[in-house]
Amino acid sequence: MNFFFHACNDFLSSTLTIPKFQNQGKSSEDLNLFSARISNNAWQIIIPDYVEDDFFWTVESDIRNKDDIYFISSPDSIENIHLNYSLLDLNDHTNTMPEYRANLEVSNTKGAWSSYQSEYPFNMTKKLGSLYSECGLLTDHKAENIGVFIRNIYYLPIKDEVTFYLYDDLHNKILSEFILKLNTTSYIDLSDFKELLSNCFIYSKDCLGIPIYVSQYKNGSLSFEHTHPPHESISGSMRFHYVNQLKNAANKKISENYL
Amino acid sequence: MLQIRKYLKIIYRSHIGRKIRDYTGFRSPIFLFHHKNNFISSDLFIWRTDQEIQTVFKASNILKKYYDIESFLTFIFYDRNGKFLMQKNIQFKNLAEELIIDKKLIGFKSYGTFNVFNRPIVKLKKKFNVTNRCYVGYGRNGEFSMVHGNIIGSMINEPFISDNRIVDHIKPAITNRKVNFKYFIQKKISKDYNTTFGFTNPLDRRITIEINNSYKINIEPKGCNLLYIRKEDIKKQNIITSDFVFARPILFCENHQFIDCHHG
Repeated sequence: MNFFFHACNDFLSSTLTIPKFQNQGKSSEDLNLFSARISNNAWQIIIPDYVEDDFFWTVESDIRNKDDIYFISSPDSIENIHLNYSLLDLNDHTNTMPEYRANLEVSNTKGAWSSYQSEYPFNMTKKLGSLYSECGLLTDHKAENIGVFIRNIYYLPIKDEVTFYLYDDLHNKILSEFILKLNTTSYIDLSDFKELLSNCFIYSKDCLGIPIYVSQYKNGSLSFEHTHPPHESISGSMRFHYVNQLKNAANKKISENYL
Repeated sequence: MLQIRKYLKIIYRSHIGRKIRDYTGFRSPIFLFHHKNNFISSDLFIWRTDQEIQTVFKASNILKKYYDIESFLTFIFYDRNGKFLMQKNIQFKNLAEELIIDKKLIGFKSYGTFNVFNRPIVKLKKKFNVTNRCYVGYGRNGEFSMVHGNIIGSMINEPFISDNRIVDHIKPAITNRKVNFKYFIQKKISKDYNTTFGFTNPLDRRITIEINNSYKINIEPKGCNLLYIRKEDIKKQNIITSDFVFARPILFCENHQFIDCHHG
């Protein structure tokens, strides 16, 4: 099961378009779109404010829904989330190969837009894990605004604070520290570090998530794309060993340079 | 009976099972690198220098990062029909390295494909399993819309091969098997902008692709095609059919000023 989400900030709004059909064509006739938000330490399930046609649900971002998560379910199943106080793997409609994806588009007031095919798999919500993402792969120092959205979805209805670090691997230096919250879409402005980003990474030892980088150029042009998790760069039986080695090294560098 | 099926499934998907399926050709696995123990792989990316468009490629130093080995990138460029154009090496100076692909580099305005392999500088006994997806961007005037690699399409089973032998040793990383692939694009394509579908063919054989039962193309091995779909032919639900097992396109969406590239 996959979840979907928004990504908006002071200069970007987002449009989430979720297909009703699988990429092999099967449609979700008995299923509907729901969203979940944390209220009074519980998951509150609501019917989102969407526009629909025969094939898609479309939801625009606003101040209220910016951290909401969206999922496809039968109405009967959602009661279980209330009862369990946790997100649940409700159905397998979105378990497809290639992956079932929604289009997440950001746009600005200059009329530019950029999008990617997004999803947040249920199995990622069950772990806290750690996040490592290289900043130079999707950013351009010539852009005017550079930043990264970090989206975390955790199965429990909590908004605990987690720390993220921006680390300069060339000069062995922590450039900045950011406090984000679980179960939110947070934006980190990296514009002040644009000349250094090709040697930087973002790291958190307490939180999984999807890092989605934004570059906004002077005329408004946008780029919006996520980095892959480190374990997708290699394969074989040793891959998690190598990934752990990489993350442990990142953690060590940050610990040693922390003032 | 259910238990037997369960165990057969485990064997079918296992390392040995994949190896046997690949060797015999019976239900050969989609991705061929899963049962290899020493390889480096690459997407078959699209480069564009047509319509004043430039391409930027970005990659991370995977061999350094995971195996602690000094490495470099080898680019192999092909034209749209899969004909070899040139080969180029670049060294890693940063954690992430980039190459701008423009008319000056390619020599003409067109579009085509390229492989990029992250290769070790010195010969070692170590074995590699590199599936680096990398990132590519398209745009005008140095402003790029970035997208990650689409599909691991090519591989080399001898990571230490010399420069002058590498082109001949690039093999498909996906099965050549002919299938009836049908893929429903999970995006509501707007008629407010122009949409071009980009497909590449990493296989050793020609592939056929059809969009909405009306646009039909053939793509030669290592070649690509950019298919502009007229606005009146964009449907509410757009369907790709192909004899290639993973014919997932990159979509180039643009109006008079802006470009948005993403996976279909």
